[in-house]
Amino acid sequence: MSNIYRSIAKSNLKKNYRFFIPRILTEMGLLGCFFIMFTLAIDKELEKTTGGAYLPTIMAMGVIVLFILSFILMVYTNSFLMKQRKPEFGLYHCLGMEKRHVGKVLFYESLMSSVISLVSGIIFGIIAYKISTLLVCKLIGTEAITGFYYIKPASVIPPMLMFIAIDILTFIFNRISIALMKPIDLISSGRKGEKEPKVKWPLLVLGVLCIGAGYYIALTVKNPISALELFFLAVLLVIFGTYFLFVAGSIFVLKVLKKNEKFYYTAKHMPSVSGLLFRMKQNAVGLASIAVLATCILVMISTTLSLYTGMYNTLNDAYQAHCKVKMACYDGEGGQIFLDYDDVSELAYKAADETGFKIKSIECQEFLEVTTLRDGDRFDFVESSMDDFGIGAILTVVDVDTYNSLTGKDLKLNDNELVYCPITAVKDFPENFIIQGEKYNKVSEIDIFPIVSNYTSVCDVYGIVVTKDTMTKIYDQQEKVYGDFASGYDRYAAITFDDRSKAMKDGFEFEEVLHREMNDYFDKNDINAYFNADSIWEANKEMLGLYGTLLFLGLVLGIIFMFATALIIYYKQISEGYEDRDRFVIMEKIGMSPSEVKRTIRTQILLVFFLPLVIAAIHTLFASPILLKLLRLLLMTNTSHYLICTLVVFVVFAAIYALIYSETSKTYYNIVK
Amino acid sequence: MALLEVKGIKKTYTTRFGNNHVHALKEVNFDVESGDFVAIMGESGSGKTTLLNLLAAFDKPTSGTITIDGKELVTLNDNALASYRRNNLGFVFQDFNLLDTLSIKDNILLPIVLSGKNVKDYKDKLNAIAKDIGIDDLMKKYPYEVSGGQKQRVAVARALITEPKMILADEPTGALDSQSSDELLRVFERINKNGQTILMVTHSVAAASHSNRVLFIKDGVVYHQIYRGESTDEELYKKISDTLTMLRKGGENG
Repeated sequence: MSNIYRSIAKSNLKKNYRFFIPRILTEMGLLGCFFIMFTLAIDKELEKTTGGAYLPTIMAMGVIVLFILSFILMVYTNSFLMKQRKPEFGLYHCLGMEKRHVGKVLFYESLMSSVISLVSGIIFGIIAYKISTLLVCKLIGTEAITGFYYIKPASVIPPMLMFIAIDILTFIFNRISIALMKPIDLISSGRKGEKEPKVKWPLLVLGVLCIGAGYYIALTVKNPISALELFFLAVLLVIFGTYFLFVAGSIFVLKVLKKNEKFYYTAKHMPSVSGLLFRMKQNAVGLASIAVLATCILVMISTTLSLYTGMYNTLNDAYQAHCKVKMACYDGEGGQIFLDYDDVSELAYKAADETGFKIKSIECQEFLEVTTLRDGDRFDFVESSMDDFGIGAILTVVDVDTYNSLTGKDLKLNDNELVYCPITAVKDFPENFIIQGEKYNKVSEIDIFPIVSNYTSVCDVYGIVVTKDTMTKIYDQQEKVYGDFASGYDRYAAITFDDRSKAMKDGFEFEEVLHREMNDYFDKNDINAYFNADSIWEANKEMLGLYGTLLFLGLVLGIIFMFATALIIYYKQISEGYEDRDRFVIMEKIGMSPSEVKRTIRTQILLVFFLPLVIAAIHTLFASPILLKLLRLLLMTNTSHYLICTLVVFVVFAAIYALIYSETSKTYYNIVK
Repeated sequence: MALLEVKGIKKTYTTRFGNNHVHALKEVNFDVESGDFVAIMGESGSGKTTLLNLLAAFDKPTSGTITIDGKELVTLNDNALASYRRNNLGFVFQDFNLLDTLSIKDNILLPIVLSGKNVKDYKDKLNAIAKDIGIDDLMKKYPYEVSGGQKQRVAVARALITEPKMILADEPTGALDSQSSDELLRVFERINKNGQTILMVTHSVAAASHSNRVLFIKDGVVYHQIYRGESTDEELYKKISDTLTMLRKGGENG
């Protein structure tokens, strides 16, 4: 007996290929994406080559967004499929199949389509991953990683389970909806008797509030640290707001258009507005998904692209000096050793000579990191705070002259003033600074501190710029309290070369020689210290890795999302086509010419398909402030460069979008004709 | 000159491989005068739907000419035909062909909107027609909220709103029960008395008995025609039945 159901199911899949293929492609594509994401997160080889440390965080966020989208998409494609096939199920019912028999057919259909999707999805993921890692290796200039070492249970099983769960859920949902259906509902097609939809006011208000809140966060966020904390919340708010707004807002807008008789009663608008109004209930979800996906694509690619292409300038800004050699070292017994400035510069000049470099200048830079206990605006030196780093607050102090020479700015301060920069995430920013009872006025806040703190992973770190005298005063104050445990100055010799691009290219040679010279020097003078340098070539290598990885992720996710967008558009074209066919036949019968029909169709499709693009553009625009703050965390500060990248990405995206649209609309015309 | 002149119409369909020719219409000639109410009868496969499609310019004849109000349809291109159809012909179909997404009022106004005219100028006309046909209380409803008979009357109103020279009706009572059919035919009679030319294709004797003149089509030619003359509906009904019986017998013999 069961063979009959299986063969019916099999022939159904073949007959309804037009509906099943997009469904299978959707599942396959999404599963492949998940495979790639999970593999990226655990790929040890990739971690070695690049700034892999950032991967898990980025991937976790990507997985969440992608899961929400997958779930919505799968439910959406499923409901479309079921709606198209209801008459067919009704026919089986009329021909004498009981509902449980129809259920069996449905079961075999779901099983087959699910197995096909899962297997092809994993294969797709494996191949796509290989291609894209080869691409990223080329992008960041490392050797290609070969082989299929990355196929592991940890990257295959979780996405599989996720989609099996979704498939089971949709099957149960379909089975229940068939069980609840009356035969008459199954036979008569879904659209008949559907009432004109009403505006869902609560949803509309909620949508406006969500988007408003998301935009508010994006526009008012003060600094990079809070941007990092609030970014995901803003993203979620805007995603949900977009869905609500499309579902409720579209109907509201169409009703307003309909009320406007001058607009409504024209050959161009009446058929489309009235048709859209009735279809918006299902349409809105698809359109909102397109808008969300498009926004994700725009944001991901434009940020990562601007990072990658802006690297040269970023390095320039961050490394005014090309190589910083540490001159204050701890000797391992709590004491501090200061290397002699003249000796170090002499060695540096020697190393430069040996490797053919010309040194422009060597400066001595100094800063101080002290432990305090923070209470509101008060920062106090308390002996007990040394016992537990976790509750302490670190002040990273740099004097204004050093700050200016590091950043190339021209900041001027008085003794009782300071400039503040949050270095780690802090919940409430101090309004003012009272350090050991002395009050300092906060003149301004900056986003990037030129000094890299040694304590960022341990406790809260506050960067401040003060005058030289104030810095000395703070040093003395803390030395008085902490005694032997007092902090010492950190000191660097900042070397600047004549030729920056040569330094980027051959700096390693210089560093190697200097390293050797310094070690000799330590040995000769019996100094218990080690060589430590922070250089532009090292940073260049790291940035290339990090930004390359990010750009790769942006591109991979962008392509994945583009794929999903194309699928939704294709789906929409088919479903619109079937729903519109009858209406255009009628209109042609009562005197609409073929060219007028075509024109009406074009207006309607343009309206529907380019609305998400416009929304995505607006979202991206509003996201710019918060994205720029986030980019600062990655040292990128060039606003105009970011805006140009965004514009370029948008233009390219719009072109691809238009191409997908025009290709898929051929399907639509074929159905309507 | 007659409003509609059909001269030597032939329509031949060629099967896919091109070696079989099906003659749907062999040689059809007839005229319709302005103000006439003509019924075209025939059995399934007799070619009456083909004829209506040609008259409505949905399709082109293989040979012969169709002239409406002095204009030859064959010479017009697709776009010109569309506007010609819109301005000169009104259609009533068996399956109503109303748009589900438009209210009754908007359905009636659709041809006006499609021809780019200002809807405001037709408000009075709309009300007059709706009242005349008895659907003035349905205007705000949607097609799925009204009965089949009401839908067909809406379709008639939609056909009338453009003041067409001729209404073409294709089995207008085909999907209606007998009472709704009767009501609709009486609407047709009434608008015909007001001067509206109507050409109706039907296989229902009851429907045809409301017309003034009945053409019988068989095997692709106009085989016979009956004029009402002074007959009542009942007498015409009898005549039509007799003719059909005769035609059927003729068919069996030949």
